This record gives sequence, C-alpha cells and structure tokens, in this order.
Amino acid sequence: MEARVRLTGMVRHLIGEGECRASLADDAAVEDLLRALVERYGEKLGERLFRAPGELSGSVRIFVNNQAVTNLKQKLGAGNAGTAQISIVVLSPVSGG
Amino acid sequence: MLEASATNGKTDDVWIPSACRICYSHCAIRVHRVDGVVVKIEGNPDSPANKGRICARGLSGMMQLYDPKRLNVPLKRTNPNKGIGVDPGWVEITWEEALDTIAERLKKTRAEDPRKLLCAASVAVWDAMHVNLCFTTAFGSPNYFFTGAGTHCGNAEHLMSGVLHGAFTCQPDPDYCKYLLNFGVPVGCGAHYANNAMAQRLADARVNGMRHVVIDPWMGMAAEKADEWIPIRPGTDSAMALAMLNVILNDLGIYDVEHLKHHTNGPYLIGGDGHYVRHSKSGKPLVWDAASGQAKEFDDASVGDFALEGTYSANGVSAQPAFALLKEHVQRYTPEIASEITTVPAATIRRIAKEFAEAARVGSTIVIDGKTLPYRPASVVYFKGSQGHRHATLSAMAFELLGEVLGAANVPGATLGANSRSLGFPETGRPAYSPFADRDGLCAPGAWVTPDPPLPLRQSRKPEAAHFQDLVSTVCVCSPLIPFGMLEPEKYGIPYKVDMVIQTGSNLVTTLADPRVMERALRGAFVVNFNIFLDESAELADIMLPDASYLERHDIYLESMHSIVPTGWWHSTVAQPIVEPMYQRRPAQEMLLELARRAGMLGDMYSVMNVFYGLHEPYLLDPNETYTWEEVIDRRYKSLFGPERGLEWFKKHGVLSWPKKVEETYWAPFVKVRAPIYFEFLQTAGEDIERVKKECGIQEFETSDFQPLPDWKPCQSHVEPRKDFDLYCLYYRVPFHTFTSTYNNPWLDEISRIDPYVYNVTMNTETARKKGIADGDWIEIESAGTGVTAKGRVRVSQCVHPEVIAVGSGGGHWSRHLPVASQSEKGVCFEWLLPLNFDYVDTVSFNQDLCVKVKATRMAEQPRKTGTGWTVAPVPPGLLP
Ligand code: SF4
Repeated sequence: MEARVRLTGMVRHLIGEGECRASLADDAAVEDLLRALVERYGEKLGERLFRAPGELSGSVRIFVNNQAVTNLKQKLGAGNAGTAQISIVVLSPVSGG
Repeated sequence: MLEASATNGKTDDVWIPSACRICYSHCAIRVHRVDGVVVKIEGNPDSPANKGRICARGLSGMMQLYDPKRLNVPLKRTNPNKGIGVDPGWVEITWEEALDTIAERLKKTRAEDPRKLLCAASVAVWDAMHVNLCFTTAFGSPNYFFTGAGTHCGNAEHLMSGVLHGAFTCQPDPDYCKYLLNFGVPVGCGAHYANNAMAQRLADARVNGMRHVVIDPWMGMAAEKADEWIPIRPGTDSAMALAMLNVILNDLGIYDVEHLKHHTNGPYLIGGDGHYVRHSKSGKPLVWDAASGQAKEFDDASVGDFALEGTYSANGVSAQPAFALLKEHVQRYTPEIASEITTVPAATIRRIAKEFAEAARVGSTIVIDGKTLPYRPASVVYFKGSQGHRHATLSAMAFELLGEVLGAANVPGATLGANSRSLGFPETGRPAYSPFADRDGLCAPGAWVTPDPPLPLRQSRKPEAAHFQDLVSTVCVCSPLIPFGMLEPEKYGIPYKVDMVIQTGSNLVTTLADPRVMERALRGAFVVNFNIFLDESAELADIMLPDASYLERHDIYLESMHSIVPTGWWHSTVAQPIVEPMYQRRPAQEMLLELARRAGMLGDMYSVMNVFYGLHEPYLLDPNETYTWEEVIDRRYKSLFGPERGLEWFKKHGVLSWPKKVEETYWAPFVKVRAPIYFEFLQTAGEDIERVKKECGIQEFETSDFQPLPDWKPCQSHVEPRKDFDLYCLYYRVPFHTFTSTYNNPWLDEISRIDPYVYNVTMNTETARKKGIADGDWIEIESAGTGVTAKGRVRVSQCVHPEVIAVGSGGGHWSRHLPVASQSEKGVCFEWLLPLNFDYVDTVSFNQDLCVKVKATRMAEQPRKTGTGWTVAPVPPGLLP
C-alpha cells in the first residue's frame, strides 16, 4: 500500500518539504509508517515524534484518512483501496501566559 | 452580512449579540448600532456567566473603535535606525505591497530555516493569538510567545493548577465556599479570570456568610472588600503559608486522612535520595500497606490501608511516606520565624491557620444532585503577586498544600480547577476531556491552553527554541528569557538566530521588564506588527498593519478559557463584527491566513487548525481547498455543537449554554488521579535539566529550586545590600485597564484621573513622613535592579505596607501616537524599574520576579503644572536619544 503523508509543524527544518509518500506492507500500521519516516529522515525526527520508545509525544497528532488516531497499532490501509492519506502535526512548544 | 432593521425612521437600529474582547474574560455583550454607528454596549443577559454585566472597559469599547489615533493604513519604516523613542519615519503603503513584502520574507526564511521566525501575541487579542500560534506551527518554528502583561503571568500558578487541579487556573467555589484565603488575587474584583461573572457570585457568597481574608502588601481591589486585610512584606507570603501548614499539621493535627491516602501521593514511599521507591519490575511507585505489612505498587487493588507515617524497608532501602516527610519538613517554619520574615504577627498566623483548617470541616459531606460528596468549604487562591517572585514555584506549592492537606480541592466549597473536566454538550458529547493519570498515577490535565501541559513530564532537550522551554521542561507558559535566546543563541547552542518577528497586538517593549533588553532583541530582526495603535513597540517595527478591533471582526470563542466560572453553566458565545472594518483596517486572523496562502503554506495552516480547534469530520479543513475565516469558525461551531449550530445560529442567538454536571465541577471523587503533595517529578526534571546542561556546556538555568517540598527563600530584593534602597516597589492590577492596551481610551482615562492612586505612586503615610515626603509631592524612584530612575507623584495612604511603593500597572506610556496615554502625569511604567535577567526569574516556571528594591527621594525641584500637564518626562531621561 501507499501512504501519502503531510508532515506539518516542528519538523520542517528536518524534512524540508512537508509532503512525502511511503510504500508499506498492505497491513501496515501507524507505527510502521512512523518507523519508515524515522529511517528516512533520521533519529532527530524520532525524537520529535516519540516521548519514549513506542510512546507518542504529547505534541504529536496523527490523522489517518481524516480520523484522529491515538493507537499506534491501528492499520493504515483498511477500506482505502491501497492508499492512505496521513496528516501528522507536530505542535510547537509554546511560550506564553 | 449583519442584520439590520428599520425602526423610528432610522435605516438601521439594531442590538447585536457578541463578546467583549478587551480582556480575556470575553463577557457576552449586546451592542446597539444606529445608522451604522455603535452607540451603546451592554452585558448580554442571556449569558449564564456575566448575566448581563460588563465592566468599565466593556462599556467604553466604542471609544476604542472610534479612537481618532487608531492605526488605519499599512505603514513601512524609512529610518533604518531602530530604537526606543526613534522616529521610524513611517510612510503609507498599500496592503498589496505590505503583504507581498512580508510573504517574500517568509518564503526566504522558511526555505533557509523556519525556526528563524518568532511570533508574539497578546492575550488581550485572544483570537489572533491562536491563529498566530497555528501560523507559527505551520511555518515550522518553535518560537511562539504570547504575553499578558508581558511576562507577568501566573506561570507557577498555572503549573500547580495543572498538576493539582487538572486545569490551567483555579477559582474558589463561589456556591459553597465559606472561607476564602486570598493571597493577593483580585478575584471577582476587577482583574482576574471571568471577572464580571465571579464578581456577582463572590458578592453573593459574602452575603451568604463567606469570610474573605486577603494577604497582600497593598490593599487592592480584593482587600478593600474583604473581612480582613493582612499587610505582608512582598515576596514572603509563602513563609506565612508554610507556618500555617506547620500549625495545621503539627499543632492542630487537622488533615484529611482519607483524601491524603486515596487522592494524593501522600502514601508513596520516598527513599534517601528523595525519589520514589519503585517496584523493581513495573517501575511504579511503592506504598506501604499497613494492613498486610508489605510494600505494594500504588495502584495495587489489594492495598488495605495506605500508611501515611512511619519508616519502612522497601526494595532494600529505608523509606518514609511522602506525607510524613512533608509534616516533618514544615516544622522548621514556626509562626515566630515566619513573623520575622513576613512582618505578620505570629498570633495572626496561628489564628488564620486555625480559622482556615476548621472552616474546611474535614470529614463532612454534602449531597448535590443526589450524589454524596466531601464538603470542604475553604479555598486558597493566589496568582501573579504572591507567586510573582524568584522562587515562584516553591511559593505556589506552599499555597496549594494548605488546601490539599485538608482535602479542599475540586470538591464542593474548595478551590476548583477552572474547567478541568468536560463531558461535552449533551447532543454531541463535545468538547470532552478529563484529567488523567500519568504513569505514576499523578494528575495530568485533559485540556491545556498550549501543547505543553506540565504533566506528563517532558524530557529536557538541548535548547532549540529561543524561549528555552525545551530545556526547562517544567515551563508550561511564558518565558521572559526569550530576548536572551534571540540575542545570544550561540551561547546556548541554539543553531540559528531569530531574524523575523510577527506580532499580533503585543506591546513587548512595555510589558517584558526592562524595555532596553527587548529593544536590543528586536533591533536585529525584520519586525511586522498587527496593531490597532502605534504603541511603543511600533518604534521597533519595520511594517505596521492596521488590525480590526473586536467590534469589527469575527473571532473564535474558546470555551475552555472563557467559560471559566467553575460552577453553574457551560456557555459558548458568538464573537461577531458590529460594523465592517473602517478605513483600511483588516482583521489579523484573516491576514495571517492570507500571508499563509502567499507564502505557500495554507495547507499546513489548515492541518494545524484542524488539530488546534478540535475539528471533526465532516468539518475538517481540506489542505487542498481554500476557506474564509468565517467558514473556519462555522466548521468549528458545527464540530462542537452539530450541524444545526453553525456560525449563523450563533449570530442570531448569541449564546449557547447548558448546565455543568456535578461530575464536571466537583470532579475529584469521580476521576482516579492523585495530586502531588510531594513534588518528586520536579526533582526528576531538575536532574534531567542538569544532564542536558552538562552535555551542552550551559551555565545558566540553575536547578536548586527543583525540590520536592516547598521552602521560603529570599528573592534578590530581600538580599539587596545597599541600605538606602529601603523600599520594595511593586505594581498592582488596575480594574479598569487591561495591561497597557487601554490607556488611550478617554473614558477610562477619566476614571483613572478621578481615582486618587492609579496615575500616582502610593506610599505608606508614616514612611513618607519619615522621608519628608508629603501627599502630592513628586519623587524620584531609583531601581536597585536596573539603575533607572523614574518619577512619580506620591499619594500617601495607610493602605499600603510601610516598606512598599505601589504603582498602578500599565501606565507611563511614551508613544507620541497615544496622546491621551502619553502624558507625564499618567502613571509610571513599572518595567523601567524591573530587571530582566536570570536572577529575577524562577527557574522552574520562568515566572518573572515582580518586586524590586528602590530608593525614593523627594525631587529637589518639584515639577510645575502647565496647561498640558506636568513638566516631567514620561520616559526616564537619558533613555531617549
Ligand atoms: S471583564 Fe473584560 S471582557 Fe468583560 S466587559 Fe470587562 S473588559 Fe470586557
């Protein structure tokens, strides 16, 4: 299956362009996609995405086919004819009060 | 389009519902427009929050709308020299030229390194603040900064509210509280959250027998209406709180054992290293089960009796329950020692401790809506003043523990997290959030104003943002240290230099302590400001863009902040324009979206807005489409309240409200989380920061305050060695001004002139007499911290502590484009006196220390009154070229 990914937020300086595609196994889950992205863009991206191994950072939000996802085990491709639209938003730490 | 109706021969005579946005209370209003002109603003009686009431600022909103000194056209600077008091040489440009110029800069910066952009916003322009945040995030920069009165935020209060109440801030329960212990907060008196809403409710509470005791160096708005005012030396409130805690725990022996065992980390075992003793496999904190005589994981259902006292052996180490350590720790704070520190008599400390502890009625219950709940009608509140010091977090801890040991938190009568828990609008179940347990069982907020709540604790990282919140992971709100990240990034290993700044509404130069520091930081950047006036910060801008005021624009109303009355009803209020934007004014929200489009990042902006505004299918913004700002607002309303209640519904009806459930307001008995009474996570965070500092070779950000139990420690002002700097200077919030943003409003100016104190500085009568200063004299106030001397006219009063000079906040303007505000008798800009450096910042929360030692002397030559005011420079001499 193919994942079309829009990566937004505090990762732009790591990845350059905000959109990419990834080819994954048909039964790939969110965690497989994230692993593939970290392999492609480096461990610095991993530090942004994960708080601890397997634990998503509090400032990361993921949408798969427009549905918010919190379970990294969720499959990407279900019911989507082999293509999943993914949006990953990495929120900036904020200063204010 | 706005609705219009023809009556009385007029073409247009309508009352339109909206929300006041002069401060962040966002009261519901109805605005009378006749023939296209706003003629009156009233409170909207349909709102269950402000119930038809508004304050002086709200009433005067049309004076801001029609202020002849409003910025009406885009401007660009022609003078390359930037500085405070330097004329930028403004020339008018078109919006096209302005937007194109900015968009080109944005594209270049984004291609080079998006982190070079810093965006700043003001809570006084709340809505643009959030669009600005979305813009920064979509751009790919970590450098977003929002300010109230600059850094004078309740950082430590927000941190503690998050971990103890699961909310951004707290309020006393106005429905059931019988004893309000108030460390200097003008709650319900003019300048705190949900201002008008709480004013009525707390007035009713007083009528119903609530005792209100205020501890404050200055008899401010709360103290003047209280049962008792206790003047205290600035920066010492926590010493009084710790002594009260000692009296309560060790002398009176009053504490809520059931609450401590089941709803706090009081039973967690602490080893000799100050950390939790953890289970060898699961890593969970251990407790001692007195029933079985064994150490068990804190969430083991078989624990029969959580031990709160004693010494035990667990995992091969000797350990004590956290509560036992707290009880022992506070013994050093006797009322006599605290009296030396605070100037409050020891007998008073003992009496207030006893009154408060007894008022909490530990063990009592109450039935509300058929549910039996603990009843603790005693509440502690604190905010900017009492926690606005070098050791802010330790102070906030002390205040919180007074209520927490009595079980007086998030139950009827107690201190309540403001909107900790929402079960959602009944028809949609949205928004839904609730405090939840982190891995140690502690309370993590379900909703937070920024993406970084205090818990779950983040790992410290090498600084990448100019505000250092990645390094100091406990900071969950504002950073006064941001100019240092801008000025010397290489010193802290920040791999770029901020070279572009976009501000929406914030007046950074007059609200961030010593104005000279921000002046230096902004000099090196290309600065774009959206503002309704040419204020002091405009002097550092390259392009000024005329923003629309709240009566000219649509806003998104964020329920989690504005429905901040803790009891009663949830509500969402429309925020719509009453007139079209005049001249060339345009709303910053819409222009930020337009800039995103021109910079080629609109899709990214929508992706972030989907997250930030909690949009749901089918209302998610498609990154490949284009939406108007009104369409975004419509989608948000529908995401929350269903397809029937979009923007049009809100424009017509004004307010949507529904009752709060007991499980939302008094959530503590319903949610399985524990509040820390021992702040082990701070010790962990401090050690983590030290690790990163060592890796990066950073000297600053010392971590001695990252300790698990509170202490009183002296601030810089307490250890000032020069004896002639013998007074503490502090500022207080003025109920009829919002930070610095309202001083050009002629109606508010009139009230300020009638008030004897706001535009003057207040000194204790006896202190003034000893210094040979009389009421009405002009004095020079020299700051020990900045070396700057300001001038002020003295009013003497017994309503201020003898060691204090009190200054009204937000005055002392100097922009020549604010002719009402910028006059020599219109107050003192406190920031000139307040240093901006690491010694004046709480390293745990980044709270700015707000008091400074000064020397006050009567001016040898007294200024004369002339036709245009006093012959005194509004800016300290020598600071203007
Ligand atoms: S309290 Fe704030 S929002 Fe309410 S009327 Fe006053 S200025 Fe407006």
